[in-house]
Amino acid sequence: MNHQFDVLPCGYVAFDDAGTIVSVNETLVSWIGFSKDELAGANIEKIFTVSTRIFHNTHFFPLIKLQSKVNEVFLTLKGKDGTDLPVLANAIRNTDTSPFTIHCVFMLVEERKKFEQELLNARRDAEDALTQNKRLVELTGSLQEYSVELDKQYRSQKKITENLLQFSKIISHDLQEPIRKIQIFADMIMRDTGGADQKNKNLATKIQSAAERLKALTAGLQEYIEVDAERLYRTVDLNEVVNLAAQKASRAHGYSDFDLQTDQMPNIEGYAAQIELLFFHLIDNAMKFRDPDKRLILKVESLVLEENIFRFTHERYKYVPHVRIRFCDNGPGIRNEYRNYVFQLLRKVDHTTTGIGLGLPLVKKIVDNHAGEIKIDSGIGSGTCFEIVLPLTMTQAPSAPVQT
Amino acid sequence: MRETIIKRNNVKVLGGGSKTILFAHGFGCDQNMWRFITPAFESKYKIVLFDYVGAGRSDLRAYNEERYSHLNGYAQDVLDVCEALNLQRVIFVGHSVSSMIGILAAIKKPGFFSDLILIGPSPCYINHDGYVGGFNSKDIEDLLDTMDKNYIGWANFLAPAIMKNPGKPELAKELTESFCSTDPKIARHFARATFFSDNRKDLSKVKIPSLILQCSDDIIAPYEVGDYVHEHIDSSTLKVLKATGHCPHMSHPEETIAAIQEYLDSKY
Repeated sequence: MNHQFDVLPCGYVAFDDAGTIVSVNETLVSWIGFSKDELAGANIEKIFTVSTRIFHNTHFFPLIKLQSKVNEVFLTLKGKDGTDLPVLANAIRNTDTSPFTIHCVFMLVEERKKFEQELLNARRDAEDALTQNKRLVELTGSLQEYSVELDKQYRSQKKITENLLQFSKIISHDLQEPIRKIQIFADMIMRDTGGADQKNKNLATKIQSAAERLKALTAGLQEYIEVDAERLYRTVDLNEVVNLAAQKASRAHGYSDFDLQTDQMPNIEGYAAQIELLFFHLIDNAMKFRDPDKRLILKVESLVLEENIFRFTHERYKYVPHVRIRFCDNGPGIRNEYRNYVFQLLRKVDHTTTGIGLGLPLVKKIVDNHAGEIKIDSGIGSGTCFEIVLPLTMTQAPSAPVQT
Repeated sequence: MRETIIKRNNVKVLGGGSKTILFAHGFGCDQNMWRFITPAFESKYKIVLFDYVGAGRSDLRAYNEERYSHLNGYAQDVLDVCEALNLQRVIFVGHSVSSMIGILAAIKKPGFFSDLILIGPSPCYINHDGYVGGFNSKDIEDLLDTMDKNYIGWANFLAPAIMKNPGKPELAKELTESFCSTDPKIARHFARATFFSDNRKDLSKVKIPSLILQCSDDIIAPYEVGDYVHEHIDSSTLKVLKATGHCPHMSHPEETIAAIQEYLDSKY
C-alpha cells in the first residue's frame, strides 16, 4: 500500500464476503493496537465488540450484501487492550474483483457520540412520556368502559343464576313428585292381575320406561345446572382425577375390560369436582359408544404450551402456560359434521343408545368455566379425540405494560 | 380473513408444486433475504414468503406491542399465514429467531408442518448456569444501544413520512431502498423478544422431523448451541455448513441450497 493510503485521516479495512480481512491501513492499526500481521487473514469480527458482532450479522452484512453499500452506520470497534472505539462506517461491496471485496472506512465519533447520546436520551424520554401518557388515557377510558360492562354483566349474571337455582329446585323437587307418581301408578297397573289385560300392561311398561327416561333427564339437567355451584378452586392432580373418573365410569357401566393409558400430566388449578366430572363424562361416553368387537383403549396425552389468556377481548395478548390434553378412544368415531353439534344441549348423534345428550354439553360448560377450549377430532372408524386446552392457573395477573 | 392476513403480512406466493415451502425471515430483515435461495426451489415447490408484522412491508397499523413482545405472538403470524392460505404439512424454513418461532408454531399446530428446517437456531442467547448461549445481558443491552444509534436518521426522516402518508408510492420506494430498516421502536421490541427469549424447555416438545443447519464460526448461534438443539429435538438431523457467519443463505447460498435440497430429496 502506498504512503497516502496509510496516513488517511480515517480507518480503512477491506474484507471479503466471509469476513476475512484482506488489508488495513496504518490509521486503523494505530487506533486498535493490533498489528497488520495480526489482522491479515483474521475475521473482521476480531475488531468488533460483541454487540457490534451481532449487529454486523443481523443488519450490516445483510444490508451490504443486498444493496452493495452502507452509509453512516454506527459501530463500536474493540481495541487489542479492550477499549471501545465508537465509529461511523461507510462501506461498499466491489463486485468487479474476485473474490468480492468490501471496502470500509471508519470515522472516530467519540465527541459526536456524547452529543448523540444526549439527543437519544432526550428523544427516548420524550417518547416514553408520550407513550405512557397515551397508555394512561387509553387505560382510563377502557377501565371505565369495562367497569360499566362488568356491572351490567354482573346484574344479568345474578338474574340468570337466581333463575337457574329456582329452576334447579323445580327439577329436584316439584318435577320429581309427579314422575314418582307416574311410576307408582304404572307399577300398580302392571301388578293388577285382575282387571288389566295384556294390552294395557304393555302400555304400562311403556309409561314406565318413559318415566325412567324423564327421571334420567331431570337428574342430568340438575347436574348441568348445579355444576356451577362449585366456587373454590384448588390444585388438581390430573392423573389422579382421570383415574378416579375412570373407576366411577367403570362402576356405572359394570364394565372394566378396558385400557387407560395416561402420560405424566401436570397439576393444574381448577374446580376439582368439575374436572373429575369432565373426565367422567368423556370416559362414560367412550364406554357407551365403544366398538363391541374391540377392547376399549383410552389414551390421555398432555403437553404444556403457552397460549393467549384473552379469548374474547380483541387485540389483547398475554401468553401464559396452558395444558393441552388429548383424550382419544378407539371407538367407531363421530362424523366430522357433528363436531359442534355434540356440544349442544340434548343433541344426540346416535338415537339408538340410552344417552340423553347432556354429557358433552356439560363437558363443554366445565371447560368454559375454566376459561379453556375444547375441540373434537374424529372420523368414522378412526376413534374420537377430544383436545382440551386449560390454563395451568386460574388467576392471571394483569398484563404489565411492556417496557421499551 | 384471508385477504387481511395476506395484506397484513405481505404474503407472496411463487413457484408451483404440490408441496409448499414456507420461508420465515429472521430478526433485522424481511423476506428479501431469501432471494438467493428461492429460485432453486421454485420449479419443484410452491414457495410462500411473508414479513412479520412490523418488518419489511407488512401493515404497521396491525402492530400490537403486547402481542409482539413475545415470540408466541410472532408464532401466531406463522399460524395465521398457514390458515389464510389453507396450508397443511408445509416445509418450514426459518432463519435465526424464526427457528424458535417455527418451533412454537409447530407445537401449537403440528398438522401445519411436515418438516422444520432451522438455520442457525438458538433456544436461548444468554448464558445460564451450565448453558452456553454465547452472550450476557450486557451484550444485549449494548446491541439495543447500537440499534438506537443507527436508527436516528430513519426515525427522524422516513418514519414520520410513512406514518403520515400511507398511500404515497414514492415513499414506498424509499422504504424498499431502506431495506432492513424498521420502525426503531418495533425493531427494539423485536430485539428484546428475540434476545431475551428462553425456549430451551420447548425443544423436546417438537415431534416434527427437523434439519438444523449450523454455520461455522457463528457468533449468534455457536456450535454448542446447535449441538444443544440437536440433542433436545428427538427427530432432528444436524448439518454443519462450511459457511461462516450467521446468514449462510446470503453469504453462501449455494451450500445452503445444497444442504436443504439434500435433505428434501431424501424425502420428497
